[in-house]
Amino acid sequence: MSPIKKKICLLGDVGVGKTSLIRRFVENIFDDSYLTTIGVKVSQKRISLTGEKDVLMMIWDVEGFNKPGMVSPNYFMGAAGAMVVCDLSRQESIENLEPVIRDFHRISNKGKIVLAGNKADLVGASHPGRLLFRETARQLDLPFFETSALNGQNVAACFETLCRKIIDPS
Amino acid sequence: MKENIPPNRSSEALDQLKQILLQQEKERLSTVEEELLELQARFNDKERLIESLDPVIADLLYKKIMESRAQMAEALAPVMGEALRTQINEAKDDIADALYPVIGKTVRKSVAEAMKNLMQAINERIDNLVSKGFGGRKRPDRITLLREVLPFHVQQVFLIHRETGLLLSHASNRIDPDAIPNEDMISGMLTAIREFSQTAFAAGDQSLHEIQYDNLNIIIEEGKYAYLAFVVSGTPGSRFKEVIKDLEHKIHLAYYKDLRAFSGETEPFTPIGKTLESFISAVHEPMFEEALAGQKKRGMAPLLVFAGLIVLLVAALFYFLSMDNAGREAELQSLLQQYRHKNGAFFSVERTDNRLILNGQAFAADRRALLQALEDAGFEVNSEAFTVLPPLSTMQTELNRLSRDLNIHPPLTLIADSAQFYLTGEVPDELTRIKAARRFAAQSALPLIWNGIRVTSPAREKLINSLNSQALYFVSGSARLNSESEKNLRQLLSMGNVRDIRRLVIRGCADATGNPQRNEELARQRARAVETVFLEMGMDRSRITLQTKIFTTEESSGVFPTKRRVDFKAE
Repeated sequence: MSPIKKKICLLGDVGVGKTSLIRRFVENIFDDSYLTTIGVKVSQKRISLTGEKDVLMMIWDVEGFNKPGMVSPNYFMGAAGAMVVCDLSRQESIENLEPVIRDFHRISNKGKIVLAGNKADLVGASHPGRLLFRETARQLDLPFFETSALNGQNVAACFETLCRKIIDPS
Repeated sequence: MKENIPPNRSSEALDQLKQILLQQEKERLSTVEEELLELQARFNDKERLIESLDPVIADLLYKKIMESRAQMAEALAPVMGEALRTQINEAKDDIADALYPVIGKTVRKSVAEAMKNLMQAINERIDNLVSKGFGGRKRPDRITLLREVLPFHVQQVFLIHRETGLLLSHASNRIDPDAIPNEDMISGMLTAIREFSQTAFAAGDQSLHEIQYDNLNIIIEEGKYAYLAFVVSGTPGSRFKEVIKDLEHKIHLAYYKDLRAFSGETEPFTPIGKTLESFISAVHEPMFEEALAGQKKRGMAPLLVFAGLIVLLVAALFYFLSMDNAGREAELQSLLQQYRHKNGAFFSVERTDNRLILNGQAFAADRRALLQALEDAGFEVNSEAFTVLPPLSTMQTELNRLSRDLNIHPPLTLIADSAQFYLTGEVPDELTRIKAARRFAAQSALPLIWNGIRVTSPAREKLINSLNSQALYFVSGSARLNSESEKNLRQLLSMGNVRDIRRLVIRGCADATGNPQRNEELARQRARAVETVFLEMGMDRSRITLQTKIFTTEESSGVFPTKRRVDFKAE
């Protein structure tokens, strides 16, 4: 049976570890040079959800910028959701989550969002970045995961949660 | 006197005389002998001989060759030929390696150039024949025509959803599926490249139509909801574009609702796979596949290609010479051309004998007139898929209503040409621009170009974004806006025009320490203190709403560092 296909975007500041998260998760990947050339790289992952049709997620890894609003909004067109990534060890990247989400929702206003606080392996349990990330996620009322591309912590769970939110919006 | 000189004295004197007379010659002779010995040594030592001759031999040879080329060639050919033969026999691989980068590339380029010219010449010739309508037999359809005459090869076809870049359907002529890279990812990247080119070159609604890579072309035919990408090797004829436009148009007509409502389910588009496969095999010329893919028969392939082309050319000539309905065909084409130029008209025609099937759309009056003209000309017309466009006045009324709904003053203007609508005008922000274009596009049967809609005030967006990410802080128990904060706020407001803010919520906040009523009053006073600045800067009071928020001890201060503050929500 053909899977349902969905486009999702992977967003966040430069250097927060988006591409490393993808490498942890996906099956097929294009060369990284596409990211520096055209600012986006497409990967795919087929996810099987219990009781649902398989979902083929086409993941657009959009090059990060340190200022929200710098990414071409064309890349968000038609996206069913986005994983917005920040670096738990860099406060600025956490503060930029909200404007990045706002940019995304301007183009894809019904797109679902999941937050990923990456590099969890680098920060302690009471690190201010970790606390700020949790607080921001609660304020924004969005599901969030503290992830590590290094040891794989919560990477699959984060993508699968986004997938479920897209398939079953309730 | 002779007798007076003793004999030994006489000999001595002679020697002395010889010495005097011949001394100089002796020395010269000795020098010549040394030089001769030196020359002999130099002649016998090859390296020294080369060293001596090197400066003059090149000039000498050049002079000699220029003076008598034929003689030199005659003289050198046996020696050079033999030397080259020996060298090649002894080091074939080395010579091949050395020459390949230069000669291989040159030969390949020349052959490719020659083939391209030949193909273009044939295509032009066939196009001329078709347009002149030679002969009297039934005219073949365009697919058949392409199959017969065009030496190119469609390797893959992708049908891709325009907005998401998701693959809807795909067909390939490759036998080995492993040889095809993941087509879903290719679709995504291809869409990303198109988006990139649009953004990078500020192309508005114009888009990428062709990507060339070595001898492969990716030709893109764009529809309203999806686009087709053809991976083609060789040179397609001038009519290829027409054929793929037809294909795209048919797909949109047949799957219009599914394409419009696409949300990731690709099953409704499964039948298109067969259509695309048929398209590839119809356009595909087996002989060229063999020529392109046949490693074993590589030596014969170019000959087969040339022979095939000549046979096909002769066959095509013979075929078209026997056609007898040239006049009728010309009449039909002239009629269609006349209506294709009408405002908003956009259609294609399939012909089987005397039957015509029209696909597309036109305004009611033009549609009626065209159908009448075709019937008068004796054609039997099927117009089920030839839809009626609303008149321009209706579309303009619709646009006025839409402009009113979105607070766009003056309303946007609509311009129509034969194949698309253009929207022009000014809107207050980017979001309104996108909304207007999307809502109009949903009702429009024609492609829409909306880069004529301009955002009047980018400064407003900047002001609103800044306000929404801004907070002003107060000391404990105070509602006094300090001079630094007030200065910053005034500076921020002077970036734009406060009158551009449609709605503003000023939220005064306090923490829960102390008397709750006092805290509530403090929060309100903080909001009012800030409101005063906005009013002084010229903002209408009716657009401002004051709110208060008392943070409990357990509650965090949110994205801002303290609870004693005023923050904003601006629209």
